[in-house]
Amino acid sequence: MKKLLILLGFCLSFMANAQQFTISGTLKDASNGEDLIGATVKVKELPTVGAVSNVYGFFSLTLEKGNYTLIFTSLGYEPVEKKIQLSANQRFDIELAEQSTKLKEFEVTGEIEDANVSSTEMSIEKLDPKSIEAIPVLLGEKDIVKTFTLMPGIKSGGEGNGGFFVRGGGVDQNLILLDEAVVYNASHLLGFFSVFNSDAIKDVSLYKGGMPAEYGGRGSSVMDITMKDGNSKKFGASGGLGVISSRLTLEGPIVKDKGSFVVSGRRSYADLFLKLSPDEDLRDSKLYFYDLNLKANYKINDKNRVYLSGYFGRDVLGVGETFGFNWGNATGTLRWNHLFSDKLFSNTSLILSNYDYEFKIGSDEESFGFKASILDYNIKQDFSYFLNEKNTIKFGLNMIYHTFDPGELFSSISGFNPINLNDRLATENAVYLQNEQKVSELFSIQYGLRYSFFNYLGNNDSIFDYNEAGNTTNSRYYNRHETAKFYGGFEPRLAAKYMLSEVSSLKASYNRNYQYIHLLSNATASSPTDSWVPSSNNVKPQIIDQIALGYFRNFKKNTYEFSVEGYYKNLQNQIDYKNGADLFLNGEVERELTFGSGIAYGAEFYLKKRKGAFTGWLSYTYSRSLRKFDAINNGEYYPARQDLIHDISAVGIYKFNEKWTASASWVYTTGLAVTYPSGGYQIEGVNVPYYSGRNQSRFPDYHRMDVGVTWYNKKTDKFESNWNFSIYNVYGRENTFSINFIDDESNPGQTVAEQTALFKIIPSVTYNFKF
Amino acid sequence: MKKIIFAFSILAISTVSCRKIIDIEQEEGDKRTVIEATLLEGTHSFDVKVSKTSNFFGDNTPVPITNATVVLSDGAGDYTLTSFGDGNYQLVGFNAVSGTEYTLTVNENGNSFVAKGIMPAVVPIDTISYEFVEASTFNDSGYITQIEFNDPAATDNYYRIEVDIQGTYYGDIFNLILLDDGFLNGNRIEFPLFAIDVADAFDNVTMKLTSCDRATFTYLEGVDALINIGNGAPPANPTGNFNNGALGNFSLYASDTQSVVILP
Repeated sequence: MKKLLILLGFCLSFMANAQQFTISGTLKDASNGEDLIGATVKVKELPTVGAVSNVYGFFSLTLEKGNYTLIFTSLGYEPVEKKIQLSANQRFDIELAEQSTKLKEFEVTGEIEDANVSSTEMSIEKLDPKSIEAIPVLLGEKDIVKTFTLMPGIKSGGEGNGGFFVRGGGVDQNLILLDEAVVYNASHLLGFFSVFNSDAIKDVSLYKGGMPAEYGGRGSSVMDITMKDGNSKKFGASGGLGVISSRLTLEGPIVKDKGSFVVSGRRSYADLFLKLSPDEDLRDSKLYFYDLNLKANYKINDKNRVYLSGYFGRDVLGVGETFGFNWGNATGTLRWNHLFSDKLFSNTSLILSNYDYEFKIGSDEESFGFKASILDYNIKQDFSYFLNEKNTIKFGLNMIYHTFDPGELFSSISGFNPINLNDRLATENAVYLQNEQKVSELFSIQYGLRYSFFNYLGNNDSIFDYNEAGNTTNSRYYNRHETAKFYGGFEPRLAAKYMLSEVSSLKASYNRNYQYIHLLSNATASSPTDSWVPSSNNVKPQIIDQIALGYFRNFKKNTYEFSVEGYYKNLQNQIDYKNGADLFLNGEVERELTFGSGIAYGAEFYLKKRKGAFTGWLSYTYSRSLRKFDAINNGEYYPARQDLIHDISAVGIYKFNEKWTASASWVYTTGLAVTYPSGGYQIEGVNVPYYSGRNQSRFPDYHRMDVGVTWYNKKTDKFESNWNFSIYNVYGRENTFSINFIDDESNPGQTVAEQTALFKIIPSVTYNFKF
Repeated sequence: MKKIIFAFSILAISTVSCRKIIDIEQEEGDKRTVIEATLLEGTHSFDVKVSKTSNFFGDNTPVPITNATVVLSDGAGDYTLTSFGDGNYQLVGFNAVSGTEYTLTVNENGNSFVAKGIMPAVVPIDTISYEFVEASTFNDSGYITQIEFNDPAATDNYYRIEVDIQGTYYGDIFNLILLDDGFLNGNRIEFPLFAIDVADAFDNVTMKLTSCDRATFTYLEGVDALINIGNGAPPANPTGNFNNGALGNFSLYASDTQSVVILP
């Protein structure tokens, strides 16, 4: 901390620079007042100078005294030009109008159009819900997470597998933030849909590597999702009716141009069809999920603005009266933006994240059930200091208090003692400092350092040490909030860009990430009951280092983007179950764990056509992800489940005219690495399989094509709508969900492999509206 | 846990799932030695089965090892088991005593496999009780049976329960009923057998409560995980107590058996 303060003082000493003035302000969408993220301010007279708006739409640019022409622009918006005489600090709150829908070439050559080449960041994918509107999806539910898996280096585990894999990392190594709050389980219905209702989302960035120092806590990636602020100009409603769910969003000003709100809800209704069933138990069954996103913001004055956002979502599954199962996330974020000066932007956030699940079996008189949860209180303070046109400094701190409830077994049956496993407590903290520096016209670099530390706390109980065999070697009593184990470490972050020409660049990055909390995931598929556990006396934090190198090139005035990136990752302190581990209601689950290491490497190729009637992309990834545990596979490297060696995605969208858009996508992925038997033997006279090694076999390769057509009704000022027709898995590929080994009916006593596929061809229709 | 899987399968079936038999390319794995040995408390025959792993697909009949030397030792003496020449080895009328440590050594083609364990004490069944329930999703109408016993407080106890209801056997390795006293230590345990079928009036119900050590319990859990894949851990061979990579286990069991007739 002391070191950071000295560094900070050093940086601040640059401030005393005469004859410089600051232009600052916010950039907004003229139609609805939404803050524009990543919009740019260019200076016509100084082609290499510019500023980019942050996640709150704020920008700051410091220039020498003089006359300038400022160009404010954002992708898809009409640029605004302003001539200024800069002789004092000036504030601009600019509203940009969306470009008319006619496809015209725009002339401004701004940083924004070639951001993939010119920005310092690499290994990042960005999406906004509008841009994915036309891409065909399962049951017409447009889904940010599913669309990301069409990008290089980001892979889905296939149907029925929640979560996603980034560059060979596990599902739990993705930091998923919704308005800064951690979302612990991002899947609905066992992974068929993500919990993010596209109608409520403004912008998503996914960092596969080279993450800035402000992010930390997970090893592989950061998915940073920003919710819409709501229309601050007028009331509006939008929504959609789909096969599986319906959505409705209401938004409007609280005080015109000063504050707004948005409420967005979504509910699936698959279970309504169950009501038609003749079977009573099925009629009483429940199977649905819902999401509710809420956000409000109010601008107190030019220097202060507050935001309140929340998310509540839940899946409910029930069979008759006798079985119930539900799980869900709840998050809340209270934020305060404050401008200390034109150059120093501050955001303070109080954040709450909760994930819990519960199931209950039996009738009211005789039932038992189980529930578990994780709850975080989080305080975050972030500063952006816009030192001058060459340096943007960010620094801040973050404190999280975790409560892990590993489980409570409750019961109304006599003789069945209720079991309440003691909560596990921990604090996770970090401080960081980062500078993004334009060294020259060609070279820029982003360098930062994050120091994170973690305290595993006692809770008025004994904490045990286990040896590799799982036997208790030591125990010690700790009071509540007494530190039982401390971990800490520096996380250096570095990203550099060198422009090879006006249209091409070379980038490199290095990052180290500490991960202090871990998801003990069932290795065959992720499930809502996977449990999060803290680092402890037995479990060390995961440490993941990544280096990446990339070449970026645009063609034909940024019509085509091309990139190739290579990466290598080293993973320390990876966690897996011991063979035959018992996980259910195990208060000493750490006994069942074994620890090892891993490596992951790969190359990602990406070609995208951004403009014209036909747009789309083609991506190919070659990658490996290997693990090494003493207790597994005789200590030799073996493929991680997500070792999907070849991965191809092709997406094409063709806009025929203002009314019709057609699209198609095709994916191909090497099958998941799985453990198949390599022999057999008998136990108590029963044939059982023998496994010679972990993940030595493969599911059949996964491939699938989806097509869709969207028909836009004539748009008026008051009302717009469209119909979307799509077919998922158009050629009916039976992709493997699971493989079971069963007795051969035609040849009793012998075993054959039976594959289960969840979907063949699934057509769907969705109606969307907005007024 | 099985109920959850049940519910998940409803979900899976409610989507348009389809099944088919597929060919999978599979390299033949190495062949391992399998030793299955169960020593019972009291005077019984001690039987040991020694074999090699077979193919998984195709012909999967066990490959017996007929030329092994199998020796049981209790610290006081060594007892060599008689070979039947078909992979089965036996010691007739051996009295195994609670609290004694036993060592089993199997020599096979120059390889030696050793396992040890202490014979646990018998925990007696106190009562078998039963209660009538109406039909529901999970059971027919009939009597849910319950085993009741007093868990010794001084030791960690691990149990396997087997039930016979009018000639139908429950608790084989497909449906192992396992219980440890981790959360119930020293309590009177009343364990309702929801996992098995209900009994009818006048059925003869026999229950066997087997105590074993932790290593054997872990092995049985491994067997359960192996057979009922999908209950958490990745598929793996159950970890037995033999060294040198032999599959199987040297199980030491101390059992108590009781019977009752269901009276309405």
